Amino acid sequence: MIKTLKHIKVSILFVLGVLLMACSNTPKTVSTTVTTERFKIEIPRDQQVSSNGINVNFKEYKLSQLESIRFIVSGTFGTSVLKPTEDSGLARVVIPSEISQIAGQLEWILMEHEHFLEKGDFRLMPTASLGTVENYLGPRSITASKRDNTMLVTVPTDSLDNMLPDDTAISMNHQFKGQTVKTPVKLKAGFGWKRIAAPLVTGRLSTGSTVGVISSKELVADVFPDIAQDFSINYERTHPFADGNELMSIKTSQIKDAQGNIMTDGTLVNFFIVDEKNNHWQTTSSTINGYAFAKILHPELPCTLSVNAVIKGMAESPKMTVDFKSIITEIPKAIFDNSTLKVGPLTSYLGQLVQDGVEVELQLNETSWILLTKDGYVSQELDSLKFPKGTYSLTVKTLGLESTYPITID
Amino acid sequence: MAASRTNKYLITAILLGIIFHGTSMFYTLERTYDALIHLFFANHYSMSWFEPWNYSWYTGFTVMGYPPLVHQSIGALSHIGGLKFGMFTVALIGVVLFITGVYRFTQVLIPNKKVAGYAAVLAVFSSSFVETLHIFGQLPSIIGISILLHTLPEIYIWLKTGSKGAFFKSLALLAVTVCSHHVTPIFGMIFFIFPLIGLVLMDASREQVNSDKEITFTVFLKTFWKHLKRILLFGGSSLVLIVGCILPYWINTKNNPITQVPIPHGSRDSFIEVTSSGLVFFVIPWGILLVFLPYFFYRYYSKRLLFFGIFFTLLFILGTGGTTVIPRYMLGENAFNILTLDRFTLWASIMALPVFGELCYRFVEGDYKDAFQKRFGPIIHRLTGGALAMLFILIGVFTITLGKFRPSQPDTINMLPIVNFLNEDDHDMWRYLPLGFGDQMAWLSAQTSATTVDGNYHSARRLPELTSRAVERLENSKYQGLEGIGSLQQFLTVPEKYHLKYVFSNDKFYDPLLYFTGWHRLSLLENGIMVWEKAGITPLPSLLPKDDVPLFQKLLWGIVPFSTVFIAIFLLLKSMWSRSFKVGKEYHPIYFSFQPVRKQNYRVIFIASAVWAVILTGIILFGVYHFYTANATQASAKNLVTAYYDALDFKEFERAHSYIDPESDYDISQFMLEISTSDGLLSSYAKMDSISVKIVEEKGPTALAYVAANWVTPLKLIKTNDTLSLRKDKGEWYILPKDIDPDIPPDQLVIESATSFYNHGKRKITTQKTHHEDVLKQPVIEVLSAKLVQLDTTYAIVGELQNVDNIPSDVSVTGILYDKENVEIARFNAKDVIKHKLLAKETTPYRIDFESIAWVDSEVIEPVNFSIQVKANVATSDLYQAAAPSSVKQEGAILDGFLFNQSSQAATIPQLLISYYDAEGGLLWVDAQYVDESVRQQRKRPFSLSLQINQIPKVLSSSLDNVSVNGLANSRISAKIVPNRNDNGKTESLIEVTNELYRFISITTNSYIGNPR
Repeated sequence: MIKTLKHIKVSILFVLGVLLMACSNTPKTVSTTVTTERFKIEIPRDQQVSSNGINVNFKEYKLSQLESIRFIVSGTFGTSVLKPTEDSGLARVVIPSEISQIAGQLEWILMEHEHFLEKGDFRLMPTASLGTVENYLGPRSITASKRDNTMLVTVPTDSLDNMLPDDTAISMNHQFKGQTVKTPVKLKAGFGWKRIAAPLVTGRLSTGSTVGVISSKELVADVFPDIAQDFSINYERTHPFADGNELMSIKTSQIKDAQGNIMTDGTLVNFFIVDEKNNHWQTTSSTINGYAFAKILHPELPCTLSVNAVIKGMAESPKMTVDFKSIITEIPKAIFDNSTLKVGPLTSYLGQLVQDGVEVELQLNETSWILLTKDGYVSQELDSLKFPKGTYSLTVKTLGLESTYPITID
Repeated sequence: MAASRTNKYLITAILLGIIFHGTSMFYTLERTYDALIHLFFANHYSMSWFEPWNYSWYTGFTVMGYPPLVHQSIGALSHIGGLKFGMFTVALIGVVLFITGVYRFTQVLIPNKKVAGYAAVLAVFSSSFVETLHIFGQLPSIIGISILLHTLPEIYIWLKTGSKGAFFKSLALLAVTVCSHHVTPIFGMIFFIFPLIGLVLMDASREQVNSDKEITFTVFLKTFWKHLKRILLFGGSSLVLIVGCILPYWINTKNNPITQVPIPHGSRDSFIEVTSSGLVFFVIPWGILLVFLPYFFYRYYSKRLLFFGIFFTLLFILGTGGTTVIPRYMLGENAFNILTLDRFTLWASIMALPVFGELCYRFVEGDYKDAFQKRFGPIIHRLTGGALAMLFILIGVFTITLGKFRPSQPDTINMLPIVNFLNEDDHDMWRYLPLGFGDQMAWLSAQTSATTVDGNYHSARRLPELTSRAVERLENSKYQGLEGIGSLQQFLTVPEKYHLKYVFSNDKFYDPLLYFTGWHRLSLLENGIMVWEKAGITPLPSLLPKDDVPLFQKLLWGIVPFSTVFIAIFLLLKSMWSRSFKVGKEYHPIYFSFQPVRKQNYRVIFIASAVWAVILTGIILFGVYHFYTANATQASAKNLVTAYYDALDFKEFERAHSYIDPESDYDISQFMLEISTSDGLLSSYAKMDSISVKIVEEKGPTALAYVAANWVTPLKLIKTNDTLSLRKDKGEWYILPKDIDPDIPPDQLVIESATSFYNHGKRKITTQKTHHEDVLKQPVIEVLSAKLVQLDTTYAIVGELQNVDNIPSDVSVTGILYDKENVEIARFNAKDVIKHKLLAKETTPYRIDFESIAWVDSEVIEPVNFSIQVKANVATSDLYQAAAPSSVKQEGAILDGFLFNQSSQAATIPQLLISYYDAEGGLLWVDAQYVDESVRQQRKRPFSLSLQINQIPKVLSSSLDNVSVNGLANSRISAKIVPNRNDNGKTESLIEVTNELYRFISITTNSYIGNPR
């Protein structure tokens, strides 16, 4: 970048040098006469903004030196240097519409070369024709509590997008559950604003503003529930047996905040479960209409589960205990046949076969296997080299039961 | 002298070349490694000829890193018929230039037009040329070497006669070479022009004496002294050309030295160890030429061609890559690691073409034919000739179709939907990242104005994240092991740094990584590409930084290369005209006075060739045998297991099933059914890295195989240990099928109610910026705890946060570290140790690691203080709560239990975030563990995780003072939203552990749903 600049500088110097040499041959006719009194303009007055530009006419001027006259105008958006024009005997400076349609203070200076001639300022006022009312509302979602509020800001403008003067009357309105509030507000520095306290009920708050005959768009804010209050839980299950193959559903009561607003759908509830052996379960569920349902699998071992549900750091349920009974009272004796050790049939609380996939642990002396039932049975093939003929101690553990007895392998 | 006659062989060669290459390139060129990269560069020139800065790749790079001529030519031609028209035209010109180049080069070495004609015909099917064009797509390299071949005769004439015309012609052609390809003239000087100078000196010496034998060293030295002026003049001028023609290239190289760590390339492998590289970079380019090596050496070590012999040998050795240490010593460590060595083999095989042409000429119609026929009879002669010709052409045809049989690229992607997506709704105001596109990513870049952080010209990289890693592209990072994945992770973790908002995934391998780093699926385009999006990324500023270069460089770059072509055509127009249309008398260049004296000692060369052929056949047979035994899958138990895993890895399930014991009644439908029900990180997203098979208990027809395999997944390395029972039947080994999980889910019909979310975005269909009433409020997050901890020498910020709003949120957490003067020293985001998508009131632990690129200065790593910035946006997807840890108990350092999926979505990859606490319940550390297999609906998946920390992290600082959420102070949020926060859920979530350094753990689950229903 710096290198390029340097290049540009060098080339500019070069070009200037050439120009200088070219010019030096011709005699220069630079006028240095000061013609202070010969230029006078009609001083612009305070006026409304205009999209057609503003003409500033010369009361006195000398045509031959009009070229050296500059009109410098500074407004809200910056400074411009304007040249006068002459048309059928009338000399004037035209302040272009880009400048004349922006409301605010305009300062002007009339110069001839570097000599100052005249200066002054005038104000451009917004037009009476109104343009739009721009509204801003934020935050767009609030909680139904006394701690929260939202703010409506109104910025009305004229047809040329200028802010309206202070103390212009506007009406800032909001509606909640059929109740309409209209608040008259006066503009200050172009803005009107109003804090709207959060309603204590969930719903949708709509807002709008009017200025004279023009209106804003509708903007809305959602009122969400506040922090949840403690709630209760209960459970549902098809049977009280620990068969490891049925779902128990845990259901919360309708979770509400302090004002009785129901939690938004999709609020997460955690369920923590622990049994008497300190095994942990946990699951999550999100609320629908304030209720959360969680499903957990029945344990395989008889136990007492202690359940509670929480919304972390905010609300919880009391602890609830659920007992599970064993589905089996006795493990059938193992049989050894055709080099296979077989245990079964394992039957459940109705006498039906236990479902497939129940874990059974077999321990033959020091060797143990964890097997899964299929059609009520588990079986393990024994390698005759590892387990030669003889009597072994067999332990079978399943569904919370354990039995140990000697078994003969032949 | 008789009127000039057209060389039939040359005409035949050119026609054959145009037919053979011209038709096949339409099927091959777009699937090559490099062609699309050149197309991308060409597109750059067609859009902005004089502006060297390109924003498309690497967050901006300069195209002055590659000589522009070929790209500019394609770019210029693209205005006639599009980019691809330009590419094919230039490729066709390259083919013609190559064939004619070989013709002219051969005439210098073997001054015989028929021999040159033979060489030209052979050049058409030269497997190295075919490979370079149709497999590698190295257009500039081909144009470069072809023009260099045309230059050599002119150099000869200048050096020999001092003809000024030849001097300028040679320089003009050399300039074109320089502008086409930078490496060709530099090494071409050494490997082609040096031996040519030697040849000239030999010829000049020969003129001084009466026979070859009389050329002594003294005579040679005298001749050298006599020609020194011309040599120096040429050498000096060509040096000026090499520097001057592409001066901006050299300036750029000096200003931006290549800091890239070496990227592995197959041509640097040991060809014996890595046989695939040996095939591609040695066997294929040499092809049938290998058989005739003794003849080449014999001819090149004749006195006249002695120097070509030396340099031919050098090229041959350099082309062997890492097989021996010699190339490494010759080039030096640095050059060895930057250069791709396949070019040496290409040049060597091109250098062999003249003598190969001579051999064929002698065999077909010269003295060898007579000698051969005298000895073996005409039939054997014709048979041999026919067989060799067939073999030669077959190798050429095999090479051209190699890309078809062993595709090096993903299937052709229809880019239109992607281009449309990027054009839609200002999506090109962000950067994108293609994944799994192969070299087609360059074609996408050429079609869109959107920019990417990746790129396909590694020498131009500037981001330290890329240059510090030996990773070719992010796009194919899965083939670069952990380092590649690590590099990709860095970009996905801090996408806001690069304004990276969209990822186009053509390979589902990367999907879990995208999910766990906080990206979500946007839509599936009609070409099957999944679009992933990251929320809350600011668009690119309208003015992007660039490294500007002075105007004179831009002008040089834009004007000089193209003008070299016009100058060369202008200078050579007359000779081209007379040579092409044979006007005027037959003109024989000066080198035609040095006809080779062919000795009649056929015996020696024949025996040498025969012995060599026998050795070569032996090597080939050994290779084939070795290949067979290694691949005869069921002949040994070890091969079987390896093949089975290979089949599973490549998802060739039918093949895998064929290895299962046919007597086990395990039919393919059952096998496929079981495959289809297994999903998860290991079975769907893993690429096997290594496998070791140990066969134990091999007793007669049965055996047990212990298989230890390492798998690369997008999230972690997985080591699996399996035991397989094997059985031998009729000499073939089989695998005995394993038992399947008999578990049956409780419900037949799963009924689930859940809340779903949708965000319209713009409600009005307009290209205007989103109206402010359509912009949702950012969800409010509260950070509950934050600690700067030190573990060994690494630092991390750990803590917990909660979505305290009523709407779901996408969260990204940035941690910043400061030294004791509160100067920022590192900044990074939480990667995968956080749950990025949170439901209302959901909490997650997080851990921010500071990877090497996070540090401002790698020297200063003593953080004292930290701050956290949380950015939240409304999330509408990936909010499933699919896996619930059940029956969890701790035993020692192992956490046992099972995951139960209560939902109606299969949890493809369950992640467990484990938080570790001290006795007071203060958070110490957070760790993410992935369960390797999926949890299907209403099913259990047992897990056994090792609790990983074996030392207590040191807490350096713990404070919520410098935490901000969406730019607001965290303290104000907690005071306003949850003023009366209590401890609900705190004790319940803690699982007490005994005999460990920490007292409690807690588990947070996060599941990637691969196929949402």
